[in-house]
Amino acid sequence: MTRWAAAALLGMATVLAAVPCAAGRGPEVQVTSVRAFEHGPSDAQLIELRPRLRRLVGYRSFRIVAEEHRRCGWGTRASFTIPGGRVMHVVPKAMREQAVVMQVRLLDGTRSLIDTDVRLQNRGVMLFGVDREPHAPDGALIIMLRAEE
Amino acid sequence: MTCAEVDRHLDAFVDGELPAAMLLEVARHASGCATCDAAVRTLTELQHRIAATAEADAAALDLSGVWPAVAAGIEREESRATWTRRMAMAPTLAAAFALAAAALFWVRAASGPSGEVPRVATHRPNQAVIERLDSEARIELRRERKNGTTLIMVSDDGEAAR
Repeated sequence: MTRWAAAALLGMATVLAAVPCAAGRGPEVQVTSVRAFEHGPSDAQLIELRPRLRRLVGYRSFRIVAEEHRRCGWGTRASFTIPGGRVMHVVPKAMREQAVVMQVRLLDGTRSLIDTDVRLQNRGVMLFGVDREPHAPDGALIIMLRAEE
Repeated sequence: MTCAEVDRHLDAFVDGELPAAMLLEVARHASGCATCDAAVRTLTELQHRIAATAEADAAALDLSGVWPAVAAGIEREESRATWTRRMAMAPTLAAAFALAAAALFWVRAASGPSGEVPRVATHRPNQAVIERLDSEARIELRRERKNGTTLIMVSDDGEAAR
């Protein structure tokens, strides 16, 4: 093998190694699970959001039960564990008009509670809720999804 | 006048409600009859005690909150009257606004292409556009107007949405 061929092969290997890294860059996705109750205190972190949550969800007390955030690759499925044996799959697809386009699926076992394609404003938050769960009939589970590119 | 007649008119006598002639007759009888005199005295004493108790109760009443409540009521009423006056002016204001808008439109149209204002898309911080939504459960879509926050609420009661 000539010196030039070796250099070419090294260059190709470098490029090929760099491609998955570039594809792996994507939005930072944060999934926060919050339990909502009729009565009781709210977490300090949620005090600012509380009025909005109260208007939307209808409960008065909000407590964070789980929080997870990670950088997700474009076109790659990221799974987030949700309390109550559920899982949320997020597949970021693209950026369009300052919004993150993604597929979001909320599964309870094999049952699909939500399967949606959504375009969420960059750095925006959207909510998913499971109301009156069988094991917590006096409240609801709220999942806050935030995406930032 | 007999004792029975005095007894019948006793209350009215003590209250001073009898006609003058009758009042005099009862007084004359009571002055010569110990039983009727005692009855008149007892009833008069009772009346004084009731009056004294009523006065004491009235003095003990706390009326300090009454005037502030009345003042607040007056203020509310005045505020309502002010709004009513403002609403009466609404047609005039609307006409003035329409005139101003028309003038602005005319000035912009006259200034030509250089006067064009670039259109800026205003996005609410949490605006989300749902392009597709499927579920095996009952779902409800809620939106908050100010920030555009969207909530997809699932009623996880085991029933599939049909």
